[in-house]
Amino acid sequence: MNVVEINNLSKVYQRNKALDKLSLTIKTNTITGVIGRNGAGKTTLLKLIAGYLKESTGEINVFSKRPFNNLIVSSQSVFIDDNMYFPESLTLEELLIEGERFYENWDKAFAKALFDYFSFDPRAIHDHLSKGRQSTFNMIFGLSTRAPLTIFDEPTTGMDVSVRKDFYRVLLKDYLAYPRTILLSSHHLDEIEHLLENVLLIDQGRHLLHLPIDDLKEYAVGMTGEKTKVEELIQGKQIIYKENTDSNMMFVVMKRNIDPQVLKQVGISVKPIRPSDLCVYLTKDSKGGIDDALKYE
Amino acid sequence: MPSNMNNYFALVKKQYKFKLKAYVSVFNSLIILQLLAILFSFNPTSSRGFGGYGVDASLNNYSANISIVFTFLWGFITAFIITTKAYREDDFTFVSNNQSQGMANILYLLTISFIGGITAILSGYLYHVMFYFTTNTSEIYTQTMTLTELFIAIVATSLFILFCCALGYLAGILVQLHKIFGIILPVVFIGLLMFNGISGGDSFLAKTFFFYFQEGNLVIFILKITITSSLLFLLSISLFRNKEARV
Repeated sequence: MNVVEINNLSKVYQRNKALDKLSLTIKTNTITGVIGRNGAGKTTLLKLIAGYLKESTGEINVFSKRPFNNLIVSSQSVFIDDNMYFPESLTLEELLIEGERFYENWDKAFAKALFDYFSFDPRAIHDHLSKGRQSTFNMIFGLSTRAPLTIFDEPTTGMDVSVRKDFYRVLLKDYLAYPRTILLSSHHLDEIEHLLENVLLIDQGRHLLHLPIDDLKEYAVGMTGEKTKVEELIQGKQIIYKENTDSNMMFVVMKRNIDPQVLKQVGISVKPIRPSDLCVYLTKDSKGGIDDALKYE
Repeated sequence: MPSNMNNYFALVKKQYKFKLKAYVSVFNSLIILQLLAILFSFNPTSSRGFGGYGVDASLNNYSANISIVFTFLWGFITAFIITTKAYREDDFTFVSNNQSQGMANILYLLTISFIGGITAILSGYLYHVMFYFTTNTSEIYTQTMTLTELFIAIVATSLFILFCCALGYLAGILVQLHKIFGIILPVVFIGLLMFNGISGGDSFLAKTFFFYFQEGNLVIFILKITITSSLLFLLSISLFRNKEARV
């Protein structure tokens, strides 16, 4: 069963195209990492799925329904980010009580346990908390809803390292105990790699890759060797990334489809590419690096 | 789909209760405004003096109606404010869509209209009491109301506040749809007011005002106000049906 089915989805803001003919499906009870650079369209995609935004063209179905303005989707999903709006007149404790009233699967004991663990003051006001504390509270709120579709958009903004670690741990444990569909966006794939089952990489509003994380780990290799030899090797093959590391040395990243024994014979060293690095290589601008943009003497 | 409808009304009710708690500051402003109005009311609305044959007398008229006028404006502004982003997005943190939000807002505004109406009329009595204890006038003549009159006064005032809320809500929705209405609406309103002054009270604005405020028949008055308010609310909800959240 698929929770999310997206077909040729585009979203255009005034002039700028945030999503461009995106197609994908998300299976029930999986954790998917939505990875991409700033402005890649991660947030737009997640807000469309949550039913906050209206699609420009194409088709989007969540729980087999068009999500925009849909009460079933709204009641079955929760969207957590660092910009959540909470009324200023209610205390944190009251916000949790409201959460319980609105979300049918709300886990009160779980909310209370986390609330105490992170030592929140029940009478504090959300707006007066620091950024990291707000994110922490939002995370508690999001997990406590036990919503069948739980969406976290950059949930760790402002959290310190230990809170982040705790968060990832709680997320994983709670997911195993109460399976649900979780979408988690981040630009730090390294940090969330161990949680994810699937990775969805988007760039400039288009979807580049949607793979199980284990496949992504095996997806590409990096090769370093003499320029002439490397060039000979990659001729006619599709490469992901190429860089001259030295005047006569070259580094290329390409899909894993060459026998390593062959490479060893011609003196090319091979190393695996970590998923996070692969994502960087895949989404790199063709303009060259920051060094090319700024010419220092 | 009766069960869906039940779910829908259950949700609207939840949102309505949420608003009663979350928008509690609305009542603080009401209390402050009505106390302020009472303070202003200690200035006589008209004053006449008599003298002669060794007697000096003055006749001062006092009125607490300013409290009612303030409450109308309070209704308008409150309705306007709850359409703004901070209030609107709260609902989407929990469960909502544009229609259920609109319905809950209308129920909320209906509630505060009656609270505003009751307190505005009763503040007149508070004023009487305060006036009695704070001034040393020898004779105070008050206009008294029977219980029926009091009831009618409360209903009529509440409905006027609801009408102001409906106008404020629509104005708020328009401004939220496009910022340009933030300029257009005040200009049109103040422009019509000025035109009304020039044309000697025979303008569109004056006619509209008399249509609602000079209605002598209570039943027709209630019909006029409720139908107009309902239409205004309906228009607001339909204008907002495609509004996106968290943009």
